[in-house]
Amino acid sequence: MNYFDLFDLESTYKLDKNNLETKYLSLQKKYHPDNCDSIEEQLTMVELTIKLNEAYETLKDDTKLIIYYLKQNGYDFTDAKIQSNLSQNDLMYLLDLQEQVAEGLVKSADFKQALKEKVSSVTLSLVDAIESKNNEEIEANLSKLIFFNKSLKHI
Amino acid sequence: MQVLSLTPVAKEKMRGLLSAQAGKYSYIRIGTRTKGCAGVSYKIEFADMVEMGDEHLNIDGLDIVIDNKSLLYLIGLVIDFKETDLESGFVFENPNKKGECGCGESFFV
Amino acid sequence: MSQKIYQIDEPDYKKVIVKTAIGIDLGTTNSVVAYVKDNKIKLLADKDHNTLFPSVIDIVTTKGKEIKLKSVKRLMGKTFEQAKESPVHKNIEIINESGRAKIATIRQNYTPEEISSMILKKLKEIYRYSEEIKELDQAVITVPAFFSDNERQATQIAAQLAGIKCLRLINEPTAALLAYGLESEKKGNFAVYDLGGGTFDVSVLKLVEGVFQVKATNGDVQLGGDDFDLAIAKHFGFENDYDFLDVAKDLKHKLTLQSKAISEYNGEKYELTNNQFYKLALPLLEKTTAILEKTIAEADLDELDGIVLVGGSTKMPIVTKVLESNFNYKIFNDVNPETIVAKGAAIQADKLLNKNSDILLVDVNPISLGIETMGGIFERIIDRNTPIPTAKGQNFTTFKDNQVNLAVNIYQGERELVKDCHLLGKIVLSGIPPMPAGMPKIKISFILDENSMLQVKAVEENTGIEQSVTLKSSISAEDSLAILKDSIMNARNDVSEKEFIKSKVELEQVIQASRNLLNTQELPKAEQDKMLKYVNEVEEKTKTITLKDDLDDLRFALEDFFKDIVKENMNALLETSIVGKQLDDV
Repeated sequence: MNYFDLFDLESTYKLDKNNLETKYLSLQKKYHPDNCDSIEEQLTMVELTIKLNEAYETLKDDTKLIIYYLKQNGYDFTDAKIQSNLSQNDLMYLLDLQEQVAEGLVKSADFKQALKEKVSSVTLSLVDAIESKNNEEIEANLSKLIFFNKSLKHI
Repeated sequence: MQVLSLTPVAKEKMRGLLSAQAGKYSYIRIGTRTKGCAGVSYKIEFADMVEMGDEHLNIDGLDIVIDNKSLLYLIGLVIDFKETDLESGFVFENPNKKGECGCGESFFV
Repeated sequence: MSQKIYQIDEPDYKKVIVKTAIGIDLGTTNSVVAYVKDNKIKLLADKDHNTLFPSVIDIVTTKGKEIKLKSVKRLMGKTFEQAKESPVHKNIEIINESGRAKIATIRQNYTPEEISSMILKKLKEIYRYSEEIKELDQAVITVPAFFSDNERQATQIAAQLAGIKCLRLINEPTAALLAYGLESEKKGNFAVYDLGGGTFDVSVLKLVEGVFQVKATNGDVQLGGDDFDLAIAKHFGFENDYDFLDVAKDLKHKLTLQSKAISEYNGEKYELTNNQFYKLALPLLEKTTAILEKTIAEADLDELDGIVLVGGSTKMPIVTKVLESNFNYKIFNDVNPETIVAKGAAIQADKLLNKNSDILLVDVNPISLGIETMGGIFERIIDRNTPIPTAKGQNFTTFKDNQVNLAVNIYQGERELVKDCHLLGKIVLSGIPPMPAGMPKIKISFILDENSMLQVKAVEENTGIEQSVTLKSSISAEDSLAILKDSIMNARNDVSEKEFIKSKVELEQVIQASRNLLNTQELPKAEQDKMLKYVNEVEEKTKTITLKDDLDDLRFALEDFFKDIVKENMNALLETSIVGKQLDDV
């Protein structure tokens, strides 16, 4: 079952987050292992709640949501594919920043902030590409998004 | 020396409560349990059977059972029915009682 | 005279048993116990109506000095290296026992867990003599949100040693909001600022329709009221004089009500004004506001409805003052900050025991969990603030050709290098078929359940070989076995002693009842003499009996003896008993 079905929501990258949370909380109440009284059920409930938490964590975050949405729609990239889709500029941008941090010219917090802004702007371009159904742009921006998002996580 | 006595009002109440349980319970069991700060306290329960070692009394058609262990403590007791502003229920009057603990739940005999 | 009124009950075996839900706030300075009775939360009180029980144990140090050992919570789960730095334990000797800290006394050396279990045993004693008379044998216990796994395990061991089944450890700020939210019937987003005796925590929670959702949590396990005492001691040049800490605490307490405080020490007077204290406290409070600000940002909420103050140290007026000048949120200081945590724990215990589905606590993993990778780098697998239960996996590979074993070191922390994090455990995946470096596909999965119990699994996906470990305790298997054995032995001693006393009391009661029967009822003289003789014999024997079973046998015999006599006279008795009597006639 995909995450959208789990919450009984329409598959879209433009989710109403308040609605998502309401659905999440009502499912939590229903399936949280603390709310079950038989030991036999317990394990199933734990597994369900794990899935529920994982789905919620993905859908509530704009970047993770759009990556997940595209993956569901056939854009499932390997690492090699992502790398081949990246431009020289993107790589240089990151390397430059990393170098400046290493030399003490840029603070690590500022580096993080810069990357965050980059992720937001790529997310916007990706939305544009999806709306204009420009497949080439979708692939390019999605690769960028995955790449920068991963870098952000590893700072 | 007498076993247990019931005041008319207690008898009436017990009969009423027991008939409301018809089909489920046919006896009222009176006994004691270890509880409270001074040791033993009373209990009144419905019961669906007379168990081994129970003493079965028929008081004016009311089926009362007392377990052997409690017999000793219940000799000479009078059970009454009391109503206060807050609650109503049965009380045990023990003409032989010497002391009672602060919480009213236990007794010395 | 109060008279107990009885209702006719369902027989015990048909009753739905409502288990007593108990919550324990095992604090640095004081401990509090709350329980649910008749749907109300009550605080355990001793005979003097105290509800705060000092977390203190009397010991005699290796130097022969009688002292009160305080703040042992600050030593829980610490290594010797960490514990010996404790600024508030300069008066005791902390020794190194294979890397772990032990507190040396003239009698023997104790682990912090053992000392903690003594505090819990004291609480059990008070509970036993309270109106409840039931046993404190299971409870939800609270811990600082930022307690590491090691510190949590130590708390669980302390409970085990005290014979208390720990239903769950829950975080103190979460517990506080659970009670606050239900008591005040508030809804919305709240930050809980919890400044206790030795620890500081912040949690941001969203409260909607009975679901308490933790959004972010953070803290400092070495920052609390003790540190304000130290700052005062330092101000007067007594930072190395342990005894002065009580004077410092006294000054601090006085300043919650007055603008100037005076205290005496060794015949000298020491005076502290509010302004002076403000200067001393500010650096400490700035640490807390920085953590608070960071946590609110991490919670990523549209708005915050206020900051709830809990923990005894928030009674210092300067806490509210500093928060008001730094933040633009409403400050709620209308709860009793010292008892609210235990109440929340009792609510959670009630939920877990009696399956109350009206409330639900959705908690998060407070500190990131991960493994060591090349070069001592800490690779996070489960990030902090991830809702639990959760399962996360990541793929790894070998870095040497023909590598057949892979050791996975499991760590917890927020730093980049494993040397700055806590080691939780280790698994070794062996039997990987020889392959060039980078070829094996090893998936490492972390499963963190609703009890915050971590299970780690490593699978080589080409061959399917796997290895897993459940991290129950950071201490070695041998140690935990010894502790368990010890606790079982103690539990048995405690239980058998209690059973013996119970049997003895029961027997004494039967003897009393028999005498009473003899005194009040008219029986033939010969029979009466025979019975009196028997009762006297029984009473004489009671004095020398040492086994519970012997006491019981004696009681059964006495009961039988009297039962027969009662029965012999029964027919006569029944005649009178079937005639209803007015009370006045008796």
